Amino acid sequence: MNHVIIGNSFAGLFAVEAIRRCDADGDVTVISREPQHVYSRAMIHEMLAGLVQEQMVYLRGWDFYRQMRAHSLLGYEATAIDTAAHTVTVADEQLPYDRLLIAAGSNPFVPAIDGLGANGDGGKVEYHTFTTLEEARLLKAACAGRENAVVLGAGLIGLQCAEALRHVGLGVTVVEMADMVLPMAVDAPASDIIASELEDEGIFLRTSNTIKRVESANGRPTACELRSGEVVPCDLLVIAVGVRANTGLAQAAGITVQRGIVVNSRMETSAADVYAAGDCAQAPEIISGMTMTIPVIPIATTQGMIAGYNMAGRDRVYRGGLSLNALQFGGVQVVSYGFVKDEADAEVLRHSDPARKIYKKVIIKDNRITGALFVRDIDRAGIFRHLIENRIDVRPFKEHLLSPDFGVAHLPREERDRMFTTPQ
Amino acid sequence: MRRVYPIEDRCINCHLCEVACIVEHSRTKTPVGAYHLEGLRFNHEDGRGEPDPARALLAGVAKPLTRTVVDTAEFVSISTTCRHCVEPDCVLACKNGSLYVADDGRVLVNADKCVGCWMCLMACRYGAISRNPTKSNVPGVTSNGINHHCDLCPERQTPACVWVCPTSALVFEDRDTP
Repeated sequence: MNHVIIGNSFAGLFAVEAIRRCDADGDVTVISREPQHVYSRAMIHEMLAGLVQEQMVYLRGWDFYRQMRAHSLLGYEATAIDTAAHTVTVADEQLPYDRLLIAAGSNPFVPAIDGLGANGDGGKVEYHTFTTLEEARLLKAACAGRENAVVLGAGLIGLQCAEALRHVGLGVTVVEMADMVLPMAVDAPASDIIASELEDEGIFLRTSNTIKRVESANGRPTACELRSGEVVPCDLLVIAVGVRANTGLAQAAGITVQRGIVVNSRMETSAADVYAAGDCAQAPEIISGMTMTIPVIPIATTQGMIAGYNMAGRDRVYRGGLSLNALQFGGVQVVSYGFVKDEADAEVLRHSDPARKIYKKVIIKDNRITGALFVRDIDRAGIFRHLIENRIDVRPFKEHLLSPDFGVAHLPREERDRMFTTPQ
Repeated sequence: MRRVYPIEDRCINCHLCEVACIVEHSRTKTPVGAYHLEGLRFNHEDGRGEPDPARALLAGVAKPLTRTVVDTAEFVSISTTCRHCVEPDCVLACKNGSLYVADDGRVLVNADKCVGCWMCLMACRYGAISRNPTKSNVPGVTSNGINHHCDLCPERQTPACVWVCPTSALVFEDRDTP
């Protein structure tokens, strides 16, 4: 069996490992337009800040592909897929496949901004995006001699980038369209706690605002004029308004694409023998039952693993993804599960201890948890993942959910037995 | 592989498993040495004094460095620890490849690589991962620490919690289906 994988991040990596667990002899080829060894995009802000050594960014040892007996075409871009002929075009050559995995991730989205496209002399104005190791290196190199950075977008990537830039000594202003930071990831009280951490670090936040025009000289920004009329000095501009699933290749090949590449619970796309996983895949979600893209690491790795097993002939079903994340800003850790902002027709439990920056919230619909959010007190949060994913009726122990000593002892006996008496 | 399984009907809520775990993973490997000389008893998150580890854990203040936790509710107590899952959610969530499944099946952390992002803590549905604030690989970030979970006591035939349990409420068995 000849396996070809487009993408060399979490989904692709776990697919390779799954394939090798059940197919020792087949060919495995990994194609990535990025030349680097398999690394974590979730580490680039820590590298930018100079907080970690570069080797901590890489996900596996240097001999990983050799150990996996996988061909790696790193620095090569797959430009076309022919689903009928079962080939991928790489560097003008046709690479045949028996099974293909598209794990191409997502690309940063850059909106049209007045003054950014071209300045008076026809050249482009320098701006940065922040999703790959190469982009992080470019941004790090650009930091030298700069004083004032503006980051457009207060999502996870924008805020991590802002914190890193502040850490290396730049003045940083974050501009966000919504009325709060992390508008997609957390609710207003959690957002307020994070915002005050960022402000304590000396980061200026401009919410309910956007960049109206970028002023520049010699291809470099000099200032940003905001919608509010404020003019913020700026010699380094980072655009981090969001990412879009990288679906172009699939779409051009005639594979069904909506927000992402649509897959079923075996990670199969609409084309025979073509699978998709990770940020670019639109797969079933566990609470709503609908398909959606969820660009987080545990989803990408799980989907990649399931895809890999199915490609190699071991039948595995994806039980559905749960949106979940762990964030950290300043001294505040945040863990979230499910739909943390959807409180319509729901019972909402809250616990708040402002002095210790602790905030916890659980959203319950039809006696099942549909969202949970933990700020700082995150130690036993994982149990909520179990409660949500298994759609467990929380009525018998609802009053304990947010108590400080909540643990598995509060769960129904049969649930504990299921969790602790058999291999998991 | 052999794993630690709790038998909750035998548990008497004595927390000796936690003591044995702390002592086994200490440098002096004696209770007085571990708790007093090495200061593990007073190890806590924000520097506030809470001399009683059990109470401190309840208050959410202190974090004794045990890898096994006795969970209690009204008439229930159960000693919980890492399940050493076959397909561990923590490994699937780890953002820089610090967590891995060793050749012998144990789920381990590379203590020199973990950056304390707590994706593992978020991912573990058994609540079996805690934070070790005494070590950090990210200098300059406060309250960071590294992943802390059961390693099945590599220097022992039987894990310390199982060995110490006075009621055999913890067993070390192979329950894998062949």
